[in-house]
Amino acid sequence: MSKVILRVEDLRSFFFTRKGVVKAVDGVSFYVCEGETFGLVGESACGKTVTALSILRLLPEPAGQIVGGKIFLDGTNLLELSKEEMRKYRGRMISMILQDPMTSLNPVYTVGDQIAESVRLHQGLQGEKVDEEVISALRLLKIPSPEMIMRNYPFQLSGGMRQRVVGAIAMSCHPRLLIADEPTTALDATIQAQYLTLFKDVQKQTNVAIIFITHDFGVVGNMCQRVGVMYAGKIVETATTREIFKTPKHPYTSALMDSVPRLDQKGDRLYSIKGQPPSLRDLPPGCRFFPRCPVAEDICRQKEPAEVEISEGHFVSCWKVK
Amino acid sequence: MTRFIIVRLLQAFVALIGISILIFLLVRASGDPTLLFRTPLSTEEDIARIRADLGLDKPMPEQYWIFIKDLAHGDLGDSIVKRRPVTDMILERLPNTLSLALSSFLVSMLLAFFLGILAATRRDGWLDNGVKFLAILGQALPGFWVAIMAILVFSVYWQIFPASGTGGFTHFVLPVATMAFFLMPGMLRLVRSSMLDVLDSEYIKMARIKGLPERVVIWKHALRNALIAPLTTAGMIFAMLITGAVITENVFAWPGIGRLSIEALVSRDFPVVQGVTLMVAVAVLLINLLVDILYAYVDPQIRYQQM
Repeated sequence: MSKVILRVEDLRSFFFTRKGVVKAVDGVSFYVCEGETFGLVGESACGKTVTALSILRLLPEPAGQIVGGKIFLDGTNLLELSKEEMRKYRGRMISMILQDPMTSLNPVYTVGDQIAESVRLHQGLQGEKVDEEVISALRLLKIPSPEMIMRNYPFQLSGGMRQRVVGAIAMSCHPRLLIADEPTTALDATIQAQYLTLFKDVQKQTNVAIIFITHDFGVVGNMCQRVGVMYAGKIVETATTREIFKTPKHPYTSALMDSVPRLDQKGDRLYSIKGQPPSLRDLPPGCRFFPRCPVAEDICRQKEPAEVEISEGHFVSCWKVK
Repeated sequence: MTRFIIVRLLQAFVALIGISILIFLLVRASGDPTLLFRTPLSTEEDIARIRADLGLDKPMPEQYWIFIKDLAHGDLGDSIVKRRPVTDMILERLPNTLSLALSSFLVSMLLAFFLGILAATRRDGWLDNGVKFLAILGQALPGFWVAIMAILVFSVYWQIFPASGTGGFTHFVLPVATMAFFLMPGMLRLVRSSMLDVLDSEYIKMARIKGLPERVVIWKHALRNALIAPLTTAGMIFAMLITGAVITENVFAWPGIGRLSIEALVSRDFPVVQGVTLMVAVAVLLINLLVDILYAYVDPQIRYQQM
């Protein structure tokens, strides 16, 4: 196994609002290795993006706070860094791609400016060297005629091209870890496939570790070596992609799999999990999935299940799994 | 960019012709100027002679042609009351209005932008709340009342600043402060909300992800985007100021265009009203042109659409 680059231990990030404390991330642990893609899967509002923003320490303050846990990047606990030290990690060591390429580029600066800014800041380059780095970043993302594109403004480019530019910004300073927050959700299907292939290439060339946030199991199967399934602020199951697909253990994971529409099975309705995820403000005392779980028992209502390793690298938090 | 400016200039010129026709017609529709010269002793012949003197006996198109021809020579006619060229009267007052307008504009806009941005970046902090309170106060208190209070406190009671007229720097303090107090709040709130919108956007999040220092995020990435909306309003405020701050000029006996237009309206001095209106129209057109050019400079999307 290659070197672990990021290790998150028992991360807790809460939002303190007038209506109460929202436990958006409540004890999340996982690790990502060099050159590996780790998928973070789950419904909307289950804490995937909050986990990502916590790693960057960019929660919207003062409401959002990291209240506990450790985040080790290459051995350094990010939560112990000063604000200024953390800022220098961003963009250089860790980068992130946001969901919507139409809004994540600044409309009044050229593409080249927006990449050059990072290059100047983190690599301390000046003059022509900056342009060279900008062009090589654009090349890495296979953007055609980069010398021309760098002089364009975002509104002159298509959505797919913009998302490549966002990728080029993220990769411009050769980060060790890249967080991709549903980077293909806003793209149409053909561009999506292209973008994913492109990413695998980028990873092969740079050996960057990727956290891929998505709700799409198709994307997971295509991109990720290992997956963490999140539910209501917790990772309920972690395993290799193969195992998750073949033998999902947690009832939530199985239910998620069943709700993926399949062409080879006829049916009147698409399967969906009954009920709603619990409010993160007011969590049930036992297992979080208990109210919607088809196999729940008494103990599930009373006590939260601990995480157990059922086979090497396969972790599940469920009373029913032994 | 040059083409963009030329096109806008041509548009402004066409608008100007339209405005001149409108002013020409409206002034003539507002009443017969010869009535002002009529005395109980005037005969029909006297009236006809005055009419001929003023050129009002000629057909309308010819009158308009004369109006335009004189205008091209910078001649706006003579004041009926003062018997002096209107152009001279305006030019005499213009420096006073311009200096007052420019200084109030600069003071209020700089304050509005600075405080608005500070308030937005410290949302719901004490500074934000203080600034919001100040803004509401400035919008709620009528300008003339603030002006009178300012005179009472600073000229009558403490006698720090002169209450009226022009002269040195001290004469500017009270009128400028009053105008700024009146003009700043709206702008401040606009800048604050525009800035808040921008700060919520994904590209600001992206800028932070890139590891940029907060001052670069605010003053480079956010500010330029937040400028776009308030720019139009700033242009309109400036145009309004050029036409003379009617209330402020009157309260502080400031010999500017605002006071001139009030005097002219009260004494039904048609050529002066006509001249001032035309001057205002030209000023508004020029400022709009300037705002458009600034827009194109700030927002590349506009720049590219126009070319």
